[in-house]
Amino acid sequence: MNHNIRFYLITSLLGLTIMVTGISLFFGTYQINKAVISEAKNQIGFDLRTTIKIYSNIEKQINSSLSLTALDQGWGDCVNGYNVQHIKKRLSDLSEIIGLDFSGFVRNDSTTICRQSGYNTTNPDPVINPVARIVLEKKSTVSGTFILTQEEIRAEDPKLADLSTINLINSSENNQQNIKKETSCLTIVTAVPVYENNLFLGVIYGGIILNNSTSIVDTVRETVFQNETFKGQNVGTVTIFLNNLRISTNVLTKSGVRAVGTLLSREVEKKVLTEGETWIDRAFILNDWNISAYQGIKDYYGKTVGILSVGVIESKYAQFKKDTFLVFVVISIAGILIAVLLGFILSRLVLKPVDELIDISKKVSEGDLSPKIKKISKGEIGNLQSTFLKMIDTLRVRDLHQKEESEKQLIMTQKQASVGRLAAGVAHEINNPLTGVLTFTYMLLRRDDLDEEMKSDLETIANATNRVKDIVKGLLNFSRQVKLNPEPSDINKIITETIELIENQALIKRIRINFDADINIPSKILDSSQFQSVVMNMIINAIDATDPGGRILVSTRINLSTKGTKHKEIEIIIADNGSGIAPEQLDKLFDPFFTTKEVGKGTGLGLAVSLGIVENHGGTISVESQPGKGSSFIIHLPLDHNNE
Amino acid sequence: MNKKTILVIDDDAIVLKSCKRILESENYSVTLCPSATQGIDILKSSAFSLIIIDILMPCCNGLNLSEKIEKEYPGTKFLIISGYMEPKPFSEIIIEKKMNFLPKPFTPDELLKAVKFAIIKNPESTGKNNKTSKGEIDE
Repeated sequence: MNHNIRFYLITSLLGLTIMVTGISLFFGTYQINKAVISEAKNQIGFDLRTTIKIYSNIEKQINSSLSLTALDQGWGDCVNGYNVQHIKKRLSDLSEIIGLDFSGFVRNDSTTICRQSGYNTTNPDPVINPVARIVLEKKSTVSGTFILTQEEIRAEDPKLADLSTINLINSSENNQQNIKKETSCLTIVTAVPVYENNLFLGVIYGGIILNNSTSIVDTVRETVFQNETFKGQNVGTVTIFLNNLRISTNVLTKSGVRAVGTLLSREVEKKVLTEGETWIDRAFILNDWNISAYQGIKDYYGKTVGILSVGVIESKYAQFKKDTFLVFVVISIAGILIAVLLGFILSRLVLKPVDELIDISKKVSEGDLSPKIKKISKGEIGNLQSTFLKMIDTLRVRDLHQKEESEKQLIMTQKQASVGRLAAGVAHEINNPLTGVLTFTYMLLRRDDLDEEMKSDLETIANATNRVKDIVKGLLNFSRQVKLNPEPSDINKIITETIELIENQALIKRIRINFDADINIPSKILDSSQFQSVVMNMIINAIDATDPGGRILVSTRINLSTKGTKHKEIEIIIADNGSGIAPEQLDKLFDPFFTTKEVGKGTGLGLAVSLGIVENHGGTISVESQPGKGSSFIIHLPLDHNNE
Repeated sequence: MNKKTILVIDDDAIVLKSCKRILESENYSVTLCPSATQGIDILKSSAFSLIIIDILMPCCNGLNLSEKIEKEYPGTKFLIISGYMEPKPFSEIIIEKKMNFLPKPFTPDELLKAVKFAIIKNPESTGKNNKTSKGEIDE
C-alpha cells in the first residue's frame, strides 16, 4: 500500500515537473524565437541601411572625383586642340583611381571626342551618353542611378555590352515571361560640366555598371558581414536587383554559382517595387530561409528601378535556437531527475512513520497491545500516531475488561459446579449413616413391648430422620438442577466459541491458539455451558503455563475407546508447549484445592470441577506432561449410543 | 422351607449392619462383605438368592462388579443400592439394563419390598415389573 503512495508521490512530482518544464520550454523557446527573429530583423535593417550608405557613397565618390577632375586646368587646350590623348590620359587616371567602367568627354557641340575605351570617337557619334546629354542642356552636374540601354553601353564599349547582358535563369516563376535576356543596365553615372574662364567646354562623364558586377556586393558583404561563415556558407548575402531581376549578387544557386538572372519573389516585388516600401522579414531565397531586407533604388528621375537587398541565412539563428532549446531540455531533464530524487526522499520522510504504524498495526493484530512509537511526528502524521496509540489503549482496556468478564463467567460456572459437587458428596456421605438411623429406628418401632412414650420418641426420631432424608434428596435434586441441562451439542462449535472468548487473552500474551477440528464428530448430548467451562478452564491453564510466543493446539477426533471396549469415543486434546507439570504433581492435579498458581489466581477447584463435569458426562480426563516441554490434557467422551 | 440367602457388598459398615438387621428379621440368611474382592471370594464357595451391591466403593464400582459376577454366574439376581445416583452414566446403565435399584437411605419396609421384588423377578423377564426401581431412579 505504501508503495502506491510512494508511486503516486513520485509520479505527481514528476508530472508537475514535466508540466512546468514543458510549459517553460514551450514559452521560453517561443520567446527566444521571437527575440532572436526580432533581433535579426533589427540587425538586418541596420545592415541594409549600411549597404545603402555604401551605395550612395560610391555614387558620391564618382561624383566628387569627376567634379574635381572637371576643375583641372588645361581643359580648353585639350578641347580646342583636340588633344584627345591628353583627355584620355585624364580619364584613364580617373578610372584607375575610382574604378569606372566607362567614362568620356562630350564637347559643347555634342560630339563625344573621347571615351575611356577609345572606341567609336573618330566618326561622328550618333549615341551620346544620356547623362552627358542632360548636362549639355542643364550645364550643371548630374549624378545618380540610371538605366542605360544596350546601345548606350555598346557605344561606350562593345565589350561592356556583352559583359553586362544577363541571361535569365529558368525557374517556375520565369515561365510567365518570355524574356530570355536582360540587356538594360543598371548604372551609377555622374556627368559634370567643364568650364574654363566661364566658357562651357563640354561634359565629362563616368560611371559604373552594376550588371554582373561583383565588386560592390562583395565589398558590402566584407564590410557589413565581415565574411562571417556558418558551416562553410557565407552568412550574409548582398544583392542588387534591376527591377525584379538579380543582376549582381553573392547569393549562390544550388550549383554554387552566383544567382544572377534569377527573379525576386512576387510578394517582395509588389511591396518594394510597386508600393515603394522597405521589406524586412523571413524569406526563402533560392535554397535557404533567410532573414532579408529590401529597399528600392531610385534613379535620377525618382523612379524605383531596382532594389538593394541584404540577407542573413536563418540557419545561423536556427542553430542558436537549437542550442538554447538544448539547454532548456537539459535543464528540464535535470529538473525531472531532481523531482524523482525529491519524490524518493519526501516519500521516505513521509512514509517512515506510516511504515512504522503499519508495523505496529501488524504487532497489534498479532496481539501485542503495548507497542511503542519511537517518535511522535508533527502535523497530521503525528495526529494519526497519537490517535492510533489512543486506539490501542482503548483496545487494551477493552481486552482487560473482556478478560475479567470471561474469568468472572468461568468462576461463576466453577462455583455452581462446585456447589453441585459438594452437595453430591455430602449427600453420598450422609446417606449411609442415615440408612443406619432409619433402619434401627424402624426396627425398634416394630417391637411390641414399647410403651407409648418410647414409641412416640422413636417416631419423632423416624420423622426427623425422614426430614433429613428429604433435605438431602432436595439438595441432590438441586445439584442435579444446577448440573444438568443436556441438549444435543456440537462439540467443535463449543470449542470454537470458547477459543473466541479467550483468544484475546492469549494474544495479549502473544500465544497462538490453533484448533484442529475433526468435522466428523457427531453431535453429543451434553450440558454445553458446563462443557464450555471445562474447555475454557483447560485453555486458561494452558495459557498460564505457556510463555509468550508459545502455542496451544486444541484438536478433536474420534478414537477407539481407551477403556478397551469396542465403543468409539470423542477425544479432545488441549496441548501446549509450556512449562509442563512435575511428575509428583500429576496425581494431585484433580484434587480439590490443589493449585500451582499464585495465591489468589486460581481456586484450586478448576480441574476438580472439570473432572466432575466430564465424569458426569461419562468421560475421563487424562494428562500427559513433560516438564519444560509442555502438557496435554486429553478429554475422552463416549459417543451417544445412537452414534456408535 | 429353604431360607433365602442374600449377600450384601458395601464398604460402609453401618449399611451392612442395617441390611443384616432388617433382612434377618424376615428370616433371610445374610452374608456381609465389605469389599468387592472378598465378595468374589465368597461367591466361589457359596451361591446366593440375591446380591445387594453398593455402586460407589473405594475399590471399584458396583455396576462393573455385578457385570463381572453375572458373567461368572449367569442368572444371579442383584439389587443395586446407592446414596448418590451420579455420575449420570450409572443411572443410564441401570435404566438400560433394567436393574433393580434402591436409593439410600431406605426404611426397612422399602428394603424388604425391593428384595422380595428382586428375588421373585424372573431373570428372563427382567424389566417387565421393575417400575418401582426405575421410578426411584428418575426421581
